[in-house]
Amino acid sequence: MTIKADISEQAQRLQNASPMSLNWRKWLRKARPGADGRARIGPRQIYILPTRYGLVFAGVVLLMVLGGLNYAANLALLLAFLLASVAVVGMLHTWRNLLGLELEAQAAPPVFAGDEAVFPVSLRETRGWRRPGLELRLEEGAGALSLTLPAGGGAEAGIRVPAPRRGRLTLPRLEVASRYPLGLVRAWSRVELPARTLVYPRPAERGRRHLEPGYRRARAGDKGRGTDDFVGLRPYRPGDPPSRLDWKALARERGLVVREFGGDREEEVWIAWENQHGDPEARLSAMCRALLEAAREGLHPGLVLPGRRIPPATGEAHRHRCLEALALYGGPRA
Amino acid sequence: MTLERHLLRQLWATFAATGLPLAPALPWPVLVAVAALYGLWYPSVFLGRLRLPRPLLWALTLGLAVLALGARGRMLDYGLGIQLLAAMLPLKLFETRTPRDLYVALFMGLFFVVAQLMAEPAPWAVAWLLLCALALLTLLVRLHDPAAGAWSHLGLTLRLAFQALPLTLVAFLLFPRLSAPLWQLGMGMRAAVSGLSAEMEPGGIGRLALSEEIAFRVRFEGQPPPPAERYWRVLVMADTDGRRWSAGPEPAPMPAGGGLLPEGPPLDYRVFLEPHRRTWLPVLDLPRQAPAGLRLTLDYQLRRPRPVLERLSYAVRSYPRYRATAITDGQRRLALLTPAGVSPRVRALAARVRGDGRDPGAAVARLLAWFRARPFVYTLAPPPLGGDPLDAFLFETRRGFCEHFATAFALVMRLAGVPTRVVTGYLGGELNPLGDYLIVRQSDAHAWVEVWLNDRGWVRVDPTASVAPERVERPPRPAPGGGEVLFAVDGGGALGRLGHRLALALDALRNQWNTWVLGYDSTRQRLFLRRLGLGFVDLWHLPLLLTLAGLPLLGGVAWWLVRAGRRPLPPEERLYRRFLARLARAGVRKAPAEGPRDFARRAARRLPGRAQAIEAFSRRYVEIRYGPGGDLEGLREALKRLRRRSP
Repeated sequence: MTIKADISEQAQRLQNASPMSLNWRKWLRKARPGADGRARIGPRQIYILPTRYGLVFAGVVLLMVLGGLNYAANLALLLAFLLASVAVVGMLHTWRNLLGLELEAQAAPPVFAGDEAVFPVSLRETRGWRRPGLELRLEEGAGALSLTLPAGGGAEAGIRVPAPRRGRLTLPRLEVASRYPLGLVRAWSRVELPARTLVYPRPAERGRRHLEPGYRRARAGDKGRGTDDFVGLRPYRPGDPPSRLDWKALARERGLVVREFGGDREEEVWIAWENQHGDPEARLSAMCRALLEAAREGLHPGLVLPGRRIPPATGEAHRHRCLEALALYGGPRA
Repeated sequence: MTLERHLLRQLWATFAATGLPLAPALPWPVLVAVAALYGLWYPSVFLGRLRLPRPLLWALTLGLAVLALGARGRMLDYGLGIQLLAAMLPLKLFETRTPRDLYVALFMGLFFVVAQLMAEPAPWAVAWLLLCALALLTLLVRLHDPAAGAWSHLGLTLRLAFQALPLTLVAFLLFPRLSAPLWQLGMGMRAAVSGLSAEMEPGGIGRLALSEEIAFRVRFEGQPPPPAERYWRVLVMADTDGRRWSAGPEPAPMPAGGGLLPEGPPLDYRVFLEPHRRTWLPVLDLPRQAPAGLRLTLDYQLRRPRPVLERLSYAVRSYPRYRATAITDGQRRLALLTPAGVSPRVRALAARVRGDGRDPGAAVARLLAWFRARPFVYTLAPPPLGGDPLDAFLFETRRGFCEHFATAFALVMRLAGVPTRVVTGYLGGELNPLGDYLIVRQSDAHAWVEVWLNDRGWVRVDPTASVAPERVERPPRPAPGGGEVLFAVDGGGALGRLGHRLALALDALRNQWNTWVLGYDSTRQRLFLRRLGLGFVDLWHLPLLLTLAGLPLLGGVAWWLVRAGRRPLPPEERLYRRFLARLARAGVRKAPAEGPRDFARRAARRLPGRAQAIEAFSRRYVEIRYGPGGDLEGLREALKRLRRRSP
């Protein structure tokens, strides 16, 4: 079974949106980033529809016009026309509130499946007018962020995107909207930003850990460093595990000294695909958990996946490399 | 989400302000209750010091409704509606918590404003109410931009209104108007008006003479006629019991073009009538044809099928010199009707006037001479006439107003065998030199008679003129003591004259307001379109015209919004952009994240031939942009050097 990383996100979207809405949304224009990575909202990418209040307002004005016409009450007509004109001009103000906004998204830090990825999105105002009452949200999601940009200023926002499956996660389409100044119409613009992030498999909840001790007899007779035999003492270096500190030496006021052991490479463990059980996703989850725990315990985990082998090592970069391999297993190589 | 307290306070203040123009017109129990509600809101909701139980509010609502109903005599009409609205607004304040409530409150407020505007209040109240409507919109701006200051909300609302103004005017001028209402309900939104009535009793017109209210205004195509010819006919009365005269049912229509032989040039004019809730329309003595939509009756009255509830304007052509020959047998019989119980003195007078009965014209002259020879007094406060008014007036009191003279003259002529009828209307009108139109007031109301002479037709005779010739030239003004009539003269000193001129100027403004704002109807609209050269546009094309005119206006606003909001770039930035464009043409593009120094270094490496010029320009630019400043001229020079080196 192969799982395409991008499908997971699309499948989710299919569940959320009805086929009808998918159909018409396809035809709507969206703002896409230019060469500089920023998406700029152009005049023709802004959509405007009346809100509920706008419709009621239109009804009120219509009643005024009818009454004014019938009773030849020109002052009532004058007010009705003034209100209608203000609403229409207000619509232009709403449109202008979005016009020329620039958006840019950065890659989100990786997350585990089931968590939320937070994409840093920055908005920039370059036209020279204040933009109050902006709403930024995912096109298909609830909960909008409210922002006000000063003239020539900018703002940063974290867009939370649920990450239900492992793999690559692209920032879904965003929607910037505004009802300012009267709330009678709502203008919105769809923005597509190419930011991506990695979703690691969700660590398994429980289960037997299968750590294959990476024991190998050293070929050159050099026993290297291990945990079996005491070799000697050396000065503390940052990063040494506290369990190896010679506390007695510290008590004797000889400074921080670390006991060194030699022997087997017992710290090296292999986390292997064939030792796991269940379907591929369960195996990946179990491997993820084993990997995280091994790293937490100061071991040097290595990874064996069908067709891929990552030798044991330590460090943040190694951990990420292993998790990435798990995340993208079976999918396209990134 | 709940509303901010200060937003609510602003709503409270705006609502109270919206009610102000109506306050004097409210019955006092309603006024007190409404004022109390506004007063209670502040401590109870805004300060939170006073807790009002909800049932109390409901009881108040009910009580106010009952109050309003009671005060209006259980009539469900416009006045009641507006009172209920006035009372509901403060109650709505107590219930306003969420943005949704705010919108509902706002719509109620706008309805309240429009309901008041329907009654056509004074211009200052109109301005006030429009400001209140804008203040209500300010609340919406505040709701959507709570961070900004109150003045910026107001500023934006005013900007919105200012930008909306051209569109508003175009819509007002071009929106199709109805020539007849779709429904008639709850009329009577305008205050009671004074005016002529369908019956005339001694004293009726005298009461009108005290009213300075404007009856109508007239604009003549050419020169207005001299004051002595400004007889505005309104009603013709032939039916009488000796004391009371009445117009009776509306007479039959005049056959087309019949009944009037012009004997001189016509006068063309347009009358702007104030609403008087009647069907009759004043017209200058005498029209030959009715304007479209109006009727001319057999006795030359101009009538409209519906009562005049709105400001009406109509164009008429009248002939001051004419022969009016329309008469039927029924009319002749009615015009000779005399009451029973005429005293011998009056009969004797009638016989003397009649003479040999062969020349009615001579009879008229004899009666006029008789009036002139006796000590008749023209007064606004005539003594009561008792059981035989005709006899008492002619031989005892001899003091009366125009209707006394007209009715007495008509009755004696009838007794003398000359068909006679009474005409009521207005005589005169003040020419407003500032607006070049005539103002006719209720105090210009007048009554005269028409006699039928076989060889001349109906002839106008004004017996008042033979007693008080000044009346023809000037309107009567009651004397301070209430006795004799004073005729208005240009008196009262310089201050008085100045005051009068000011009043005339104000009326000229008011006339413009009435014509172009209050009285702008389908007729006016036609006239306006014709003046624009768009006479061919018919009613149903107006929406198209409106769109054609409105869209460019909106486009203009959009252009202005986008252009005017843009801040110009500082000069060094403009030069730097030209610099970037030039290098881009040479194939070196600046990356978004690249600083000017890094870019200059890279560009210099890529274009070694121009390296020096690039570095020099960049250095100067950085000095100006990020350093303490530098000289702009040098930067410009550096850019030129770059161009000179370019291949």
